[in-house]
Amino acid sequence: MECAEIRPRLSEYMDGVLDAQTMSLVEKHMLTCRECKKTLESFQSLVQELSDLHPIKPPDDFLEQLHERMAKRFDLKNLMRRLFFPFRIKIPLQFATAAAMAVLIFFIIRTPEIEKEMADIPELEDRYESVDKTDTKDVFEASRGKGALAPAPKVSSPMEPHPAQQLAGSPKETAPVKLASKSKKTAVKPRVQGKEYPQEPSAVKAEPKPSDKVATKAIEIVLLLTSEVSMGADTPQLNREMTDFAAPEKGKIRERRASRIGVTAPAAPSHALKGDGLEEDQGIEYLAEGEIESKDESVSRVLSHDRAPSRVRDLIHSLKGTVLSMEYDQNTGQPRSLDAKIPAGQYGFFFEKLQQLGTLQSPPPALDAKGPEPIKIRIHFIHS
Amino acid sequence: MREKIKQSIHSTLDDAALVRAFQAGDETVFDELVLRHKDTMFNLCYKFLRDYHEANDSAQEIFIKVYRSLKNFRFQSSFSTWLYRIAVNTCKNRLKSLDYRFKKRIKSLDSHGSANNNPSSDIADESRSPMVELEKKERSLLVQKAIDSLPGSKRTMVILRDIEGLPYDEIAEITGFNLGTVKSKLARARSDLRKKLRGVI
Repeated sequence: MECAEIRPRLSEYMDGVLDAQTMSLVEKHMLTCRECKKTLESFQSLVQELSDLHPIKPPDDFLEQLHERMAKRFDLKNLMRRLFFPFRIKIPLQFATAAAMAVLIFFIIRTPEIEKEMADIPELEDRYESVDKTDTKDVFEASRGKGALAPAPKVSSPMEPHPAQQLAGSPKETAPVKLASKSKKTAVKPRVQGKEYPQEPSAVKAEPKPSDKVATKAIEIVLLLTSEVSMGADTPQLNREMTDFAAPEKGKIRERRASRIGVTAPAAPSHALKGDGLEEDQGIEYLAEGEIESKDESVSRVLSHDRAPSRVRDLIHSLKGTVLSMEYDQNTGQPRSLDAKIPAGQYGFFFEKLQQLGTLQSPPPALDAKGPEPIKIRIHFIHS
Repeated sequence: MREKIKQSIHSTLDDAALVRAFQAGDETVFDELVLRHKDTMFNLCYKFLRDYHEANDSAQEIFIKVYRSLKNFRFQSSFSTWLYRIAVNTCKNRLKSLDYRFKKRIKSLDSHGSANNNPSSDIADESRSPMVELEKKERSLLVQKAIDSLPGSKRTMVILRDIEGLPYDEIAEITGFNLGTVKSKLARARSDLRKKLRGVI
């Protein structure tokens, strides 16, 4: 064996862990190689030196120190063990707790949503209920006497004309009312047939509280009025400010020509005219019910277009609305426009009735507001 | 009195018997095991860590680990081998720890080094002259420094074989290396030390 093969084996040779054959070869080599023998001697000195390193004494209170350390460490462990159950109990308990927490959190989060859904349901039901269970009393009866117009229509379908809807003829009226409406009018029946509508906005239980808030923007309506002359000779041109014949009650107030006066309720004494005609722009004049306005007494006529605006006013009042103002044409003295506010819930019904009084130039716009919330409307009268 | 009697009885039992007694519920035998092996463990830690307090701290940690695991000891090796295994792993982990490395760096700046940290270092040999003693002390320091310079596994081999005097197969069992690896690592470690200590030894 060469020295390069021998030297790596000297450490094992020194410790006596070589196999017999290799050991024999190393010993044989050592007999002849001085360098390898020197290397072996240095290894032996090193090992001797390493083993001669004196041991170091540990502290005398090593055991006491150990006890102190263990007491701190294991007492805490025992405490933790006492506080928590063994795993076989602890883990299922933790799972059960986690599940309970999850259920609780779920309900906490869901409860407002559930309440909201529950709150919505009665609102819808009541709305439909009130449509189905309409009271036979007409809204008009309360203010206009028996046989008035049928209750206000549903908000959702304001423009459904109902064949059974009838225009009321006041038993107190002395003159027949002829309106330029396309639909026929029949006697108003106390009970509304067919579709029924809620009486009042407050019948809808879930509706919001009526407020005085009025839609800022007025709904514009153009109503075409046509006139029918009942008999005729010469028909003098009326040159008057106001031509409100249609007041079924006494004390109807006539507005000033070309002025806008806020009117809330008719509350003035009647005043009979005796063929003098009305003075233009002279304050407020009152007409007796059914009085004929004409200078020429030979002519008796009822002008539908004169009556329609007052009927519109009556209609507004019957719906618990308010006429805000009327504007008259300066030349003809005929009503040009009417500003009013009506409950939003009566919107559909109002238009139905309006169609009986005249021809709407265009379908009424859709309404966003609901219920008793008042809406502004402006009716423009066009006299044909 | 009762305690002393108990201690004397325990001292007659070998390690396996003490472990069985501990596993049976007699935790007082643990003290006997500590007293029997504390010096060895302390020195082993000192050889690895080269610091008295670190060695003391590590030695106590070794016995705490023994206390925790002794109930599960299965006698697949001797208690001594199992103890050494815990000790070597504890010292290796300590060597790798940042805290230890920081302290060592600080210590290396101090020229006196480990000598200051060992109040009861080398036991003086009264038979030798002071000069001889001084030379021996200086040589020991150099040898220890050379051991310190060895990488982890080589250092372990030298400590277990040449300082602790453990047999190859036990070293293999403690370290988890096979026998051939132990032999080759030890040979390389000794060769490195011989080169470092040329002129000293």
